[in-house]
Amino acid sequence: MTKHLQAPNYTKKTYPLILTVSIFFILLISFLGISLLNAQYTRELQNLSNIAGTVLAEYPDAEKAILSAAQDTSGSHLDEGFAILEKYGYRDNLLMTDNPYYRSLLGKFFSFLILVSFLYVVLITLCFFSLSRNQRAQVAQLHALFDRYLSEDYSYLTDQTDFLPTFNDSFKDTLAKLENKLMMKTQELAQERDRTKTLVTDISHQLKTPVSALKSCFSMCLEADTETERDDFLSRCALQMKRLESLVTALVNISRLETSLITLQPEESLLSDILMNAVNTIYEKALQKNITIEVDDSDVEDAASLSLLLDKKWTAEAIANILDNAVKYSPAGSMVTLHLHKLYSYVRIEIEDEGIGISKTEYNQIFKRFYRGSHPIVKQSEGSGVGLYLSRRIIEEQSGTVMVKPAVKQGSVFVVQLPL
Amino acid sequence: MKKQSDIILETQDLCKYYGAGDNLVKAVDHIDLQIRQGEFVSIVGKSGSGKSTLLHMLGALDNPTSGKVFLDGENIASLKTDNLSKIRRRKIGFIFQAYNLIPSLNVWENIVLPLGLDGKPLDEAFIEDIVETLGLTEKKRSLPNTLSGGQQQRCAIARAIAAKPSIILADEPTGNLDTKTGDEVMALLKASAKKYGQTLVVITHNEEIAQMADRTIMLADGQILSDGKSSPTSNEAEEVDDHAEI
Repeated sequence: MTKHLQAPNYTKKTYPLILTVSIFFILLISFLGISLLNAQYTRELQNLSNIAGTVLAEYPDAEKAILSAAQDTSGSHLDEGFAILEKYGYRDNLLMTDNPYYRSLLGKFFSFLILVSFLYVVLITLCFFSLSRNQRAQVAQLHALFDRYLSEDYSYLTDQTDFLPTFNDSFKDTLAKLENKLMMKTQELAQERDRTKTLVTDISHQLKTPVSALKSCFSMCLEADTETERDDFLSRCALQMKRLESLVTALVNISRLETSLITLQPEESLLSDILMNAVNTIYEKALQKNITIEVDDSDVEDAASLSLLLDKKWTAEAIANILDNAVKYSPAGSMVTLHLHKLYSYVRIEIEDEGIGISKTEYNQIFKRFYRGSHPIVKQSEGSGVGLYLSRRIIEEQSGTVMVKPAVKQGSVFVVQLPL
Repeated sequence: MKKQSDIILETQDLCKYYGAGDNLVKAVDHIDLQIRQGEFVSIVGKSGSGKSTLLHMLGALDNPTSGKVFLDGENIASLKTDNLSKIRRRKIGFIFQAYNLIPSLNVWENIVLPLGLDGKPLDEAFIEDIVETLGLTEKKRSLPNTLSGGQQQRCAIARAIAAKPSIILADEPTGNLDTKTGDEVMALLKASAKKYGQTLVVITHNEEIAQMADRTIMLADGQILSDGKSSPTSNEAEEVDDHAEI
């Protein structure tokens, strides 16, 4: 992150530009120097030719002397020459500016130099200006971005595809990742909050009704005129109490599961044990309605010794809830059958009843927390809409699945698949 | 509305029309949907409801007539063929009803073949893990035609998962299997997708199988009939109001 912040994109464009401009000016100055040298050389040649021409016109014999003087670079006659010229005012320390030719050359050189330097300064200033403006724009953009983040709006980068055009891609990538991360965290928080809120609302709602029912039972009991009436209300109180108790148990289970207080502890457990425990839980209820519960494991050879990696207690609870549902909504004297099948990776338990069945539109609903079916019989009977939800949670937590299908004749088949 | 970060797949006003004039068929007709990372979504509908066409466009196998498909925030409907196949290989795993295994290659070779095509290094431990999860360890060296339908589909699932795609698209994965095997394959598919953190979109006409999904989208005549967006926990408390009386 810091790495990207230190090296945003503008350096990539602006610094090479400044470099190019500088190199261009250095080349320009060099060109100027070379042309000056060239002017000087031309001038010297002209001077020499002029002198040679003038001297040769008067002394044709001096050709040889002039040629050797032109070729002599050691300056053997330099002192004599200086001495002669000095008589006519050409002194050793004569300034270049005293010479009109060089003066004009110098003038041209300086004006050119000034012009070039001026241009250079202007261009560089422009570069730096755009650079700092760029920087300011970037800071402003980042400001706007962070302001949005602070107000929990994480749509900036995604909404504006041309956002931060001056930043390089990896910087933008990092920003996008940051944005995603922030958004995810915020959402997780919100979801967590929502879940807790819904759970609290649901639970308080669930508790309110039976408590008020219990309350009215009690008050009627207190106002009862006769002994028999009082006993009647007392027994209703007991019934309400029992309902409340089972509801509270269910709610405690749910809230513990929701808040992950329950950790399922898978261990090698015999499937027959789990099923036995589950059946035992609702055996009483089934007996009351004269409903037969049958386990059909004819399809599985090693049914008695079949062992699965499951949490014994909670898996039994999950299956018991489904059985409870089957018994509750089946007519007296009917059958509830558990068919066992061993597949490649799963054990398939089909819990088939001959009850009222479930309408197809409710298949997805019945496993929801506090959902209660729309069938009149369901509406009449007791229940908190917790059991199947809990079952699904427990089974899915252990990589199993549960779903419902219509039975061939009448009723429903709950299919539970548990991993082998 | 704030952007939802964990949306991995999204369509906007997606349409696919075939034919013209009187023969115009609106296979997919203005569909907007969002699928979140790690979600298991089932798309159900009768045959001809446009679910396969929709899945093909979600998987960049087909170009929409109009509309957009965003995969990981990128509009794949506007990509060129080269980029598309790259995205398909990198991000999407496909499972079809007909398994589509290569008959001359054994199970293991079928599973690793797509990785080879993409030049990815072979994470052998990962593949072994998948093979074991899907119960194919003993069948690794078998040719597809010696396997049962369920085993072949498990092999196809392994192949889809092996490239570690972020999303798996399955078109009637249990269509050729009997109920029990189909249920088992679906359970395996769900468990594997969950294990490897992959998003799963399954097309099925089987509403029972759809129950395994976190969410079910129902299609009819190329349009969304219902989108079970609510999570299993958010059920209106009001619905339970009327039963607990004395």
